Amino acid sequence: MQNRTILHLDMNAFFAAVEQRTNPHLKGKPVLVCGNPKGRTVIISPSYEARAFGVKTGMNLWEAKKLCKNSILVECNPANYVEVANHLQKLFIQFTPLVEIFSIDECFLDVSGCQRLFGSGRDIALKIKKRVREELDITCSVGIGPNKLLAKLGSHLKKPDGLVIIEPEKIQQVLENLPIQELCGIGPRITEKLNKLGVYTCGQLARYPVEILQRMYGIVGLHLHDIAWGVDDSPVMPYDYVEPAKSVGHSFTLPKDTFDREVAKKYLLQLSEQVARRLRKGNYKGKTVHLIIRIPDFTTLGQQVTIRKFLDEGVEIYHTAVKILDKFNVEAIGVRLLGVSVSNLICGSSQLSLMPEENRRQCLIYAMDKINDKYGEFSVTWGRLVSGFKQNNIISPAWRPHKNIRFGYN
Amino acid sequence: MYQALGESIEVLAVFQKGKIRPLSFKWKSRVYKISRVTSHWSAPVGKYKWHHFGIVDKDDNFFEICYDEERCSWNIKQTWKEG
Repeated sequence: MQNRTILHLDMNAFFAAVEQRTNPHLKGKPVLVCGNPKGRTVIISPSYEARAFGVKTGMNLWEAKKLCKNSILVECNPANYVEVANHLQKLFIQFTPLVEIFSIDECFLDVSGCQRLFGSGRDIALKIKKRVREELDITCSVGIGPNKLLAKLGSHLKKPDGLVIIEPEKIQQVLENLPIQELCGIGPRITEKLNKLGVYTCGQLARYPVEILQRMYGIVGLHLHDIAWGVDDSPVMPYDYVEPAKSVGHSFTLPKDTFDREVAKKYLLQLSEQVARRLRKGNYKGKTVHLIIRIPDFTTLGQQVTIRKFLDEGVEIYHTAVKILDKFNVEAIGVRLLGVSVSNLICGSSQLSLMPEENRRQCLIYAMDKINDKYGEFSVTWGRLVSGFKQNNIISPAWRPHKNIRFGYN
Repeated sequence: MYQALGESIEVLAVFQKGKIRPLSFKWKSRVYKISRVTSHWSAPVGKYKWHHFGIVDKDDNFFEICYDEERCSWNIKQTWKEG
């Protein structure tokens, strides 16, 4: 894996920028994109004008409003962001088929093999930045490096609208005094542990004995050592590569804390139905059910249960999740957020049961899916969910562009 | 701030090569000429789609209008009011 040229593109304040592009009256103003402003929500994306006042992603609304009194709240509009992301994807694959979508507003491009056609990595980055600005009226930061790790680091070093090239001969110079948490793959927990060992910078981590890191973290320890030296051999996956799902889950922050088990169970049923529907759409079944409960003081509790049978039905997932819920004293601890996920997945298994009762139930679920495909989610559902909550304003971390996008010019 | 509307409107639009281009619309007896479509996105509702358009009229007013594929009808979703 030598002489690679990798670009990392990061759209600047993506959701807020799309809102400013959609409504020109928002341009140059502090915009705060959030969930439903009438419910309990946090800041999903502040515009750069709002960031200048200290507003950050994940802040509470009241906190953000206190910092930036003139800010404009805008409810997030995922369909609009997805449309723009699809346009970006179409643009990128005109340069190379090696476009790996990292998230809705970030991606990697391996341009090692297309520089005769389009020029150096820098030339390609400038061309892409120009087209993104002209066609979509938004900006992006680009990092260029010999691997994904350094390209991503580069795009984070200069925002907004930056272009940073990390040349192979300058890697050690860039990394020496860089705080370890700036590297992709080192989260708060590992940072805290390494800080306790007196390791604060990538230079210190690179010199730290790899044997000790390996003893502490196993294979991750080796990885930490590698990234501290700027080594990352992971390939940029082509745009049409779909990694099989490891788990499917949904979570929901309740409009207000509840200490009522029955209320919590109602939310659990809808979450289980949502998870089951996505499992069936992806032709997955799973046998480990996880339940996550966040209580009012923000402590997150969770447990999982693995059962013998592979599941893809909401009611079965619900019953398993309720068994886990029963282990917690909801009336005493309260619930702020609930999350259900299913892992231990297999794909493509649909075996007819020997039990006629079970086959009838499968037929019923198939019919319900057909109706919901035609008329929209929860058009037909369990009576208990008729007055259920709606949760449309979400973009799954597993979001990928439309499958009909093809490599090459339009 | 945004003002939610949700009213039915009449729209003059071009439907060509699978694309929709709204040109003007009539709302509360007044005709608004669209000078620019700033954004277009669609959201599935069952097997049909709602096509949303962010638009600016000749007087620089912003509106979001929406075409319901199933009912072949147009709706004005919201407008922007300063202050």
